Amino acid sequence: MTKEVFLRELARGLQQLPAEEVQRQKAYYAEMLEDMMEDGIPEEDAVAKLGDVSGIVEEILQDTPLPVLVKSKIRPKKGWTVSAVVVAVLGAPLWIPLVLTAALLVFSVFLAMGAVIVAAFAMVFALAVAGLVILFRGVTLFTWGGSYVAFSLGCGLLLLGLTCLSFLGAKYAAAGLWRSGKWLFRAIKGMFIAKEGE
Amino acid sequence: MNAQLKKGLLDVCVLSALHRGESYGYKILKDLAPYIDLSESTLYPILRRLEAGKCLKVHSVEHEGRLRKMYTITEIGRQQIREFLEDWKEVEIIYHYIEEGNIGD
Repeated sequence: MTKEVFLRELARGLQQLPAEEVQRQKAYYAEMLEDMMEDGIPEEDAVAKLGDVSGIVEEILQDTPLPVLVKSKIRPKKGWTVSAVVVAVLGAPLWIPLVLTAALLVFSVFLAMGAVIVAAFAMVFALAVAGLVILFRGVTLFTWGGSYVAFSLGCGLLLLGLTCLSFLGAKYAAAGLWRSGKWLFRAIKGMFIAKEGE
Repeated sequence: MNAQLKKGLLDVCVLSALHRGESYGYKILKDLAPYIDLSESTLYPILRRLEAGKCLKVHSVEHEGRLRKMYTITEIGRQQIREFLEDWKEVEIIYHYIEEGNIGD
């Protein structure tokens, strides 16, 4: 691939970004390639050294803040023409609630994931407290008789055992939810990254 | 090297390359190549971030009939290097602690 082709494909991949940023990226890679060639690396090899254009584009877009991507995604292809503005304004009662609903839905999913993590650890904490209290009662009320003490100690130890097990479970669940949350965030960002040819 | 550890080092490496004198993208990569693996696409966001943080200044110079962006370190950038070196003393203490615990493994 030649330098010109590389830069053209880079610009095409980044077209949803502000024009100024596309220029900046192009200038950076053009300078890099020219410096490599000046250093004696043949043009094709220099381009190959940079790696796959689509990979570079993906990296740049995933590094771009979400608001910039959203803003560029909702911008009409040929800019804000009069008819586009009219449609946007007349359609406001329809699209504003829809966008708001989608945003709140996403927010509530993240909130629910957080709530599950908090609830799981609250349960672990409750088990631990209950176990300790029953164990403590069994020891202090030894005058009530051997069977009561044995029963309390048994229950207390059982609850503490459950605490340990449920802590492990809660830990794995929290780690899994955290990973899912991160994946979901990347996926949502991906929705605002325009696909080739759009 | 561990990706998280490397990420923390890259900014300071770039600043350190500039501390040796003003430089440009390709030269920074070449200067750092023996020490740390840094790709062209990774360098760009680092330079942007350092510029936004006023750790470096950019100006264009003409070279062989084209423009080349030159990067110069600022006082804030030099301060970042000093802070890194200071922080590293703590890292060394932690390193020795980890190393001691690992004896006989």
